[in-house]
Amino acid sequence: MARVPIVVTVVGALMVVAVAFMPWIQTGHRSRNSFETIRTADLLDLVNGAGRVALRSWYLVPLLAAAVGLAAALDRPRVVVVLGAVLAVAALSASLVVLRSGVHVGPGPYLGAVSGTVTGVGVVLTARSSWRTP
Amino acid sequence: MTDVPDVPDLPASVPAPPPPPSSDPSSPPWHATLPDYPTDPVDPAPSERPRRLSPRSAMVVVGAVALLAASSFAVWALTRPDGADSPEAAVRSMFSAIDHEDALGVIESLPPGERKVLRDPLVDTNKELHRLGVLKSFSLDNIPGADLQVKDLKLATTDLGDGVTAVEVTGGTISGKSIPKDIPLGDPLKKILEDNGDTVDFKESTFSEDLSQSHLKLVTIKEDGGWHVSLAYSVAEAIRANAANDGDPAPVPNFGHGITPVGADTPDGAVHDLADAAVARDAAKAVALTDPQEMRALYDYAPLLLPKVARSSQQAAQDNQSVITVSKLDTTVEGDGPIRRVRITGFDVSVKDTSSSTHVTFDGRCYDVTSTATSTSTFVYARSSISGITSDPSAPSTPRTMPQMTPKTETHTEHHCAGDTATANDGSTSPFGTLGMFGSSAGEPFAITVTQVDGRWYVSPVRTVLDSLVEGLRRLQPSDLEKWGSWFGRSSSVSNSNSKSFSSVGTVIPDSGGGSTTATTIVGGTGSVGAEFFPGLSPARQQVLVRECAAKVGDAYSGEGLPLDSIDSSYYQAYADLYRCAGQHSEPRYLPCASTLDQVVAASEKGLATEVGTKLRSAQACVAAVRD
Repeated sequence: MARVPIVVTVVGALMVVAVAFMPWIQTGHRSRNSFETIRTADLLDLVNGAGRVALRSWYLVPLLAAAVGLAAALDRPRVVVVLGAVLAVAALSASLVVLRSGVHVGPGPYLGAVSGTVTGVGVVLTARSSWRTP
Repeated sequence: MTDVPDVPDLPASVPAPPPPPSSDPSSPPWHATLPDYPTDPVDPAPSERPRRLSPRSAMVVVGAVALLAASSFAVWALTRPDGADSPEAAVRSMFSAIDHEDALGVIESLPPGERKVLRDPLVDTNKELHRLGVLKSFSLDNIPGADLQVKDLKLATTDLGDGVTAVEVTGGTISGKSIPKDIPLGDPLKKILEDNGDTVDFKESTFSEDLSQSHLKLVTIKEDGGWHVSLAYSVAEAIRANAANDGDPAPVPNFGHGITPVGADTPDGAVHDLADAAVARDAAKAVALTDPQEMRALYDYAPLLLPKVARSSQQAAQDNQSVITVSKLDTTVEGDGPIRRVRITGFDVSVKDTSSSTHVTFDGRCYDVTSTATSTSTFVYARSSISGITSDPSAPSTPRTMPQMTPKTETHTEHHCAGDTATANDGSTSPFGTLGMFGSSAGEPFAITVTQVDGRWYVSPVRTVLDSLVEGLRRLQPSDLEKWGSWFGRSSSVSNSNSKSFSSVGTVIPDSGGGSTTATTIVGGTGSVGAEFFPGLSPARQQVLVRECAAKVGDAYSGEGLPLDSIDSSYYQAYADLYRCAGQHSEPRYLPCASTLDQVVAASEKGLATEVGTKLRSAQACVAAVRD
């Protein structure tokens, strides 16, 4: 029972990665996943400065999710909480930005928001159980 | 070598064993009852035993592998070059984007230098056209109204130089169809078109083109590590190839070894230096002041063109002995960052040659032009007078050409200010007013876009043009579209009717005095064709009549700009026929006007100038009296 929060976090993280490869925007008749979307925005210089750094950091999402899984396997709940929180915030932020951008969106950003929320819930539950446990 | 078998770990829950029993027979008896500790049977061949990972260990291994894979993905994604792997892949990528109606994909396939220049103006133009009602709201990532398909693309590549490859489309088809319901024309534009007699009932149409017959050759360049389709290089190479076909072969340029960019220390310095280069007819210097990223093709191809440009420039200077002098050039710099606008707030320019001189001054709002020309035949600058429907002795003199036997010097001056209407106070056409329909009547002086590259400032020609277009659109209001629509309506109506001229409806008649001239217009108004010929009717009715009598409208227009001494009864006859046509079609109230104009014709044929004036005023009153 004590492991459920961590499992929820890991499942959420895996969902974020899976959703990242789903169609996020539609340009003409072509769909672009989140990484292709990021690349287009980058190539077209739609964002500069710190925004560009944040944009490019999306490529680290799979790495972050893998790190969450590894931390869970090593039974490091507090590491899971920190990395999972970053992942949840990234997924929710990216989803909101794309949804508010006015472009034709695919299912990606919606499911991104869902998976980010699942990760966030897992993080909160993990945090409660791990910080309560001495 | 002997394999050392792994020592299996003891379970953590097993209690520590007691000390080993003593071999001393006198040891206490309690040592006799030792517990049975669980012991693993000794594996005779440990290396053959299948390994078993605990679930947690398996998760750790999976996590570590995923971490490695994700790291590789991140490194690949962050370091992959901009562009395609090969020239052919770049062209295929562009056609794939076209096939998917993916405008962003097309822009992505361009080189970074061209992409950056086009992106903002495209977005801004789309936004402004939507605001003005020309287009419905749509996103550039999904351009509606057409369905395109590219199939069986065949390509052939030719290396032109280091990092520059031509890709010829040798096969394939491009086909498509329009989707009328999706064409994003704005409702205001539709209404204007309809008011001007044009149809907006688009029919679905299809097309198919064999690309092998198109002789399409796209030039790809390697930039930022990847291959891109370059519009600029494609155009430059097409010009070079055409010159070769026309018997003026030029070698392939030595790419990357063209003119060296020079630039300027400051944003306005780039503009001043460009003006100096223009005055000195120094084309190489002018090229060196343009943005080397945006105009990379120009830098490469310029060495092929510059010798010819220099020769023709020198020849022209020798033939005309022309001298250009810029005695003043005032500028202000707007914006910050690496892209700025240098606005021309004043200048004083003179151009002189053996037979003429022109002096232009601009103070930021108004400009004055003084032109002096010496010739054996005098050309008096044409003026349009559409200022009213009454005879006006004080109206400006009419355009006419009179042969002169002796050289004569003519001086012409103009004064125009921002905010002028289309026709200035002196009756001449103001460029500010004419351009007003494109937003320049607000009076913002012209600006040049400059960019900073590697710490130097350069003029950006493409950005200048596109930014000025967007700036003009920003100043427009939806109501300006009606003026625009009238202009289109006038152009299209008259172009359908063999007209010689369509600039205005003004003309003149001789007055009774005989010696001097007065200007008199038959009809008045400065709006559309319909408003000028049928001023009292609604725009819709005007357009109906213009359409029904398009040929007659053209005939009436053809008198515009005629020299005074060539005005004859046929001119008035054209107006009589026009109003007769209108009367016979759908507005019988114009029939009396046509009859009155017949009397003008008769008087004109008899040379009764006074009667012409009197009858003409009656005709004008008749036309003005016809109202909805």
